[in-house]
Amino acid sequence: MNHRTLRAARRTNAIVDGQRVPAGRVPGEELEAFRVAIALRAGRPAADLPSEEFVTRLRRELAAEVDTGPVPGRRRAISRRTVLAGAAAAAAGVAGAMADRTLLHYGTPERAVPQALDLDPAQGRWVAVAREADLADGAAHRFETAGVVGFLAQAGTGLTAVSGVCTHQGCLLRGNDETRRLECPCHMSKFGYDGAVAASRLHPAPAALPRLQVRRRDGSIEVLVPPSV
Amino acid sequence: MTHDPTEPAGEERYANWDEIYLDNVVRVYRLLFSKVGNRHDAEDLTTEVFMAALGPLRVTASRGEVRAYLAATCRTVLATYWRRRLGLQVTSIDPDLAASYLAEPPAESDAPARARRLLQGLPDRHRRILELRFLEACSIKEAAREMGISVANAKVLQHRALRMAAAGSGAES
Repeated sequence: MNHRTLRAARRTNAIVDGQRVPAGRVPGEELEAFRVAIALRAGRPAADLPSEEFVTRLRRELAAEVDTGPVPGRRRAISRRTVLAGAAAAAAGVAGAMADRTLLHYGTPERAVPQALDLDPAQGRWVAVAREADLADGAAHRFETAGVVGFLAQAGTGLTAVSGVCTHQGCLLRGNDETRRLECPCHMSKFGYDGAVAASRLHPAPAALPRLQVRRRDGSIEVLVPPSV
Repeated sequence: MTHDPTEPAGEERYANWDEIYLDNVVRVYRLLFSKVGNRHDAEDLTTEVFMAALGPLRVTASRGEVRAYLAATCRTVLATYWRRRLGLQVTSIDPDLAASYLAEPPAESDAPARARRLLQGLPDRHRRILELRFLEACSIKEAAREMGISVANAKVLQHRALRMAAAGSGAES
């Protein structure tokens, strides 16, 4: 078996053995076989029922999350941390070239007033991510390119484009049109449309969101992003 | 909160978050499992879906709205998962199908039937190796012994059988 075949086999066997899917590129010609492997594995009798243990654990975690007030010194369960670590890795991957900078912040939590870094890809290209009309209602407009997720908005200072990944642990932010904030589902930090931290119960507060370069072109809004990953 | 019996099912409301969770966790998990094929990732993604829905989803939303929201969240969570893990979307969730699936999940999972369809039409030995490995949980050694071939041959056979099943499933994905 050649190298490529071996990698395909590893991926398949992970699925067969009920392991996580290993990260890495799937060559186009292997994709369909990989889909078949997933469908076959899911077809094992009763394989798709969640374990009682999992259902109970997540129920507890959600209940704790619902109750969460700003209780000083409250500690989260270990399993929750694990989830967040996963989410951080996830979002870092999505953010592509942005990941290094986000993680840089994450690795230096002692910094008292974290500075915003502008997303400035070495080999950026301009990509249209919205029409001007999309911003007419004043709400933030979420966009996604191959390497970056972010939000566009018409803020007081003009047109802004910021990363849609929380600088704390990398969770994906959500736009709240009513409050005009970008909210993190993980620790309830809130960012303004310009990327500045508006509210956070974290100490120290997370860094502001990296800003992207943004411009108008022929009725479209374009942002400068890293080339496709 | 009591449910008004005159309201159609989709208009009913949940009493609290716990009820939302208990009513939907199995549906969400099954939907995601059918797309990733392994328990670890299905659990992680199910957790992400509920954690993500916790903030924006109001308990006062109707049952139908809650399920539609969860379906949409499953879709984006799965898309993000594949993009970060493999750089491309291996499986996706059709928005309409997901909404109707969460609203009225089939009493029995359709995954086994789908697996059987994929195996149909394969030559006997190719079908057998996939049955042993995927559906009957045999190790590669056990499967090789069962079929009276070497482990190396079993590996090659499994690989070819998957490619063959894939070639025949073009329309399925």
